[in-house]
Order: sequence, then structure tokens, then C-alpha cells
Amino acid sequence: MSSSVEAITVLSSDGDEFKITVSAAKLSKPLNWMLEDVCFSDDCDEVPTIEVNSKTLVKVIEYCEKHAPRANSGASDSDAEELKKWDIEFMKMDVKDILFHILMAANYLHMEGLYDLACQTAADLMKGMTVSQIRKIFHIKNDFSSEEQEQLRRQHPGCSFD
Amino acid sequence: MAKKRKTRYKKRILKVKFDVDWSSLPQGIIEMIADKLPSIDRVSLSKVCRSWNDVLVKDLPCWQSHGLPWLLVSGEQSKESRTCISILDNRVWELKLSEAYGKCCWGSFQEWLIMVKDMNNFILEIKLLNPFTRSQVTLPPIWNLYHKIVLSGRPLENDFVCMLLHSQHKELAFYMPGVQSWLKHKLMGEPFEDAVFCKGSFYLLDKSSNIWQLDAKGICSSTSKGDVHLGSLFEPEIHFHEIKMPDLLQLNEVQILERHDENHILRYLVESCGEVFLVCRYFHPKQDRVLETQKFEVYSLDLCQLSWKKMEDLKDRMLYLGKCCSSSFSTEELGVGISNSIYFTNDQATPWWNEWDSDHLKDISTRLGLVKNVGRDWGNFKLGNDDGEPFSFRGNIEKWPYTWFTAPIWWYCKYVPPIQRV
Repeated sequence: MSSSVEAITVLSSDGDEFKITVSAAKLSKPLNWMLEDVCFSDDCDEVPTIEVNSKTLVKVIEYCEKHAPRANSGASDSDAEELKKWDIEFMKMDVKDILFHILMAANYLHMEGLYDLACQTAADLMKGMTVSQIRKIFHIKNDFSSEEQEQLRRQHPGCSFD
Repeated sequence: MAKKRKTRYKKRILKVKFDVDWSSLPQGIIEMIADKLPSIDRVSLSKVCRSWNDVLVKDLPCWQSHGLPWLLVSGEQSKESRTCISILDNRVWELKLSEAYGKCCWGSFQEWLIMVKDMNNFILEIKLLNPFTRSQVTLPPIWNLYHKIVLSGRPLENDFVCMLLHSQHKELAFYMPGVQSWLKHKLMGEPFEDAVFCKGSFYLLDKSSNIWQLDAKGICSSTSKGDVHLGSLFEPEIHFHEIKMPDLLQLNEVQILERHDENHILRYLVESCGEVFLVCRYFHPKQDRVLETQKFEVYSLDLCQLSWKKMEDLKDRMLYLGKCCSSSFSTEELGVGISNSIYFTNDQATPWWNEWDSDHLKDISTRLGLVKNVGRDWGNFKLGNDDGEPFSFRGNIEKWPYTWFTAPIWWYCKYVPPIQRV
């Protein structure tokens, strides 16, 4: 890889093109490998595709660009505090639409920080909720058979599944 | 910012489209989310859908210490199942436990129960039994004179050591996998009140609140030297720490100190998040009010300053006190909003009595001239809650104390409907 390149171009799974700085891309292990692997000069016609839709990729890149300076050089406590606040704002997103994709993307791109943050966000949404509330928030169908639930109810009278 | 790129570019990675379906989350992600949730929420999670249930019913090593506090009812040796009380959701379970038939429960370590059978001729058979996985470990037979048993960890873990303690004789006995019989050691000094395992060492408390520390690694290495013969005494390394008790003046406010009598304070050592706690349980001094608990005090061991530090606030911890089953839970980890709570059982003021060795409790009410069956089996004390109401707990003197143990979360996920929040 040429040391003069500061940003690379990647494609989303929808075929959209995005720029990401090299230092931000290094937050993801697979992208980092790709950087070492491929020549990213301007005349290179090979553009890596990231298995993430455009809407999600925008968020992933936003996260990487914000966190890259700290990840590369370390940061003071006040920076860490500021970053924490930014993370909280950043994760205010729709559960069905984006959070799911962010989780999958962070997992697939091996991004430890974002993965942890997304899992924490999902966990916070579940905390203190009843089973039926969790199903509602995350649009999950109850796929236990009525026999299974009936059996548990019989064994434990007075218990509800809600 | 984004523009459509024409498809002439080679795609380096296969495009895979996935739909938003939270129930199809990869196992690793569900585990990670569950790892960030308190136990009660983890049980709810497992009831959401079948695929999440499949992940959470596994007994993963990283979740092994997670569970809910349960009580095992005593005096049920002749039952095929044992009655258990889940105290946080106030439910009673009948746990099928034919392995425990004819045996008394001496104590516990997490979900492991320590079951004892009197083989007559003063010999005991000790079995460590996990009632949830049905695993069993049989220890070598031993004389029935010990009054306390301490496990260093889960019985199937590496470096497992088990210690027996006889207070008055100041005798210890050790077992570790690979040895044929118990290794005995005589201690000098005063009789011992309680013992606990914490961060690689056994800690013993003597009557003057000093601590005797035995390193588990040291115990194992003295046995591997090959100089230990069957039943012979062996000499592990022991460190003695003279520990100062805090200023006793404030205790003078309490009337019981005016008639201070060692018999009326029961001392427990409890391990909590890598710290050793001393819990003092004050019984009413009057004989006719035997087994009436009036208050508890908690001290934490500071080995650098060689002192017991009085604790006014337990913060995130809940303590569970029992003869050979004391433990500590994190309220945050459990997901309950209970603070500064000490849970305890109807422990006898005489901890050297064992359920199997005699008829100590037979007709005890009549002998002491007490009203029958008025006591309770377990209770809860709020530390630092000085609302002026005097605390009083009258233990059931006719029953052997119940045993605290832990019901693992995977078991709840598998067999139990969601836990109702109180």
C-alpha cells in the first residue's frame, strides 16, 4: 500500500461509494488487512465492497472517523469523557432499522469498540423489560409452541410469560 | 456524498443481504448482550424466542458463578426430592434429588451441595453433589468430629482443595484430588470460630479475631513432595496475622455488652469480591430467649493495616450467612434493587453441632422450657437502617438450619418461566 494514500474508497452492499480515511479504516481488522493487501492508488480500479448497506456504512464510518484519533494516539481523560457522551448520542437510533445492522456490521468488521457499544445499547433496551415487552421492542415473534408453554405453566402455576 | 459506482468494479467480498431479524442474531452477539444484563433479565431474554433460549440454556464457563440465591430445607433425608426456597422471587421448588436420599446437607459452594451420610462407627461419607448437572464427587471417609468444611472452589476445577476444621481440637484436615486420604494438621493457638477461602488462601478466625492464613498452593506442594504418608500429619505453611478489632466503645451503647458473653456472638467469615468479611451476629443474652438475634455487624479485613474495618454500607453486595454456606451476591449482577441486606438462617448459637451426629434438637423446646414452633427459619437484616425499631429475629430452635446455595441461571433459562419482579 502506498504511504501517500490518506483515504480509500469502499462500496456498500447497495453499490454506493464511500470515502474512509486510512487511520479510521484501521479500527476494523478486515479493512486493515485489506489495506495491507491492496494497492489503493487513484488509478486502481479495484474497490472493496463492505457487506453492509449504505445507511449502516455511513454510521460505521462516522464512528470510525470519530474514534480513530484516540485509537491511534491515545487520549486524555477529558477526551475520553467527551467521547463517551458522543457515543451515547451516536447510539440513539432506531432499533429495527439501524441498531441491528450496526451490531452485525461491528461483528463482521471486527470492531471491538463499536461492537461493545452496540451490545450495551441493545442490553440497555432489554433491561427491566418483561418478555412480551422485549418481543415488542425488537419485533420478535413468540415461536415457542403452546404445548411447551403450557407445560411450564403446569409445572410452575401462577407464573406468567409476560 | 455517496454516488452509485458502476458494476465494472470487481467485488472483493461476496454480497450477502440479511433481513432485520433479531431472533436470528449470531450466538456470539446474544451471549455478549446477555453478559451485560443482570441475572433476572437474562432469564427473561431466554423466554423471548426459541433461538435465544438455545443459546442461554448452556452452562457456559464464563457464566458459571451467576445464579440466584436459594435455600435448601433441612430435615428431609427421607425424601426423594428436596424442598428449596428461591428467596428473591419467593417461590418454593421441589427439586428431584434421589442422590441425596438418606443424607444431611452440611453446606454448599455456589450450586454444589455438600452431602453427608453417617456410616456409623463415627465415620462419615462426604459427597459433593451438583443438583443441577447431577455431577458427584466422593471424598475419602473421615471421622465425624469436624464441625466445618470449606471448599477452595468448584470441585471439578483444577487445584481444588477441601478443608475440614475442628474448633476445639484445633485440627485441620485437607483433601485434594489424587490423595488417598485426608491429610491432618494440628494448629497451635486458640480454638477457631470460622474459616473461609478467598483468593488462593484459606483464612481461619480465632476467638480473639486474629487470622491464620494457609496458602492453597502451599498445601498442594507439601503433598507433592512425597513425604506425606497415609493419615500422617503434614506441615503446610501458615501465616499468623494479629488483627486489631475496632474501637469497642460504640458497642457499649448496646446493653448486651454489659453482660458480654462470648457465647452470645456468633462470628462468620464471608468472602465477597475478593475481600474477607467478618460478620458478628449478636444473640440475646437471656437464656429463655435463646436464638433471638438482635443485630449484625460487618467488618472487612485489612491485612496491610492489620485491622478489621467496620462497614456501615455494603454498597452493591448482599451477604448470605450460614454455617458452611456463607456467600455474597452483587445486587447489580442479580438485577435487584435491594441494598445493605444480610440474609441469614436459624443458625444455632453452637456451630459445632452437626445435623447427623446426635439428637441435639430433640425435645429441645421442652428441655429449655420454650414455646414450641414459634421461631422462623430465615430472615433479613438491613445494615445501617437505624429507624429506631429494635430488630429481633427468633430462630426456629427445633429445626436444623437451612443451607444457602445458588441456582444457576442456565437452569432457570431452561426450566423456569420468567422471574416476576417484586
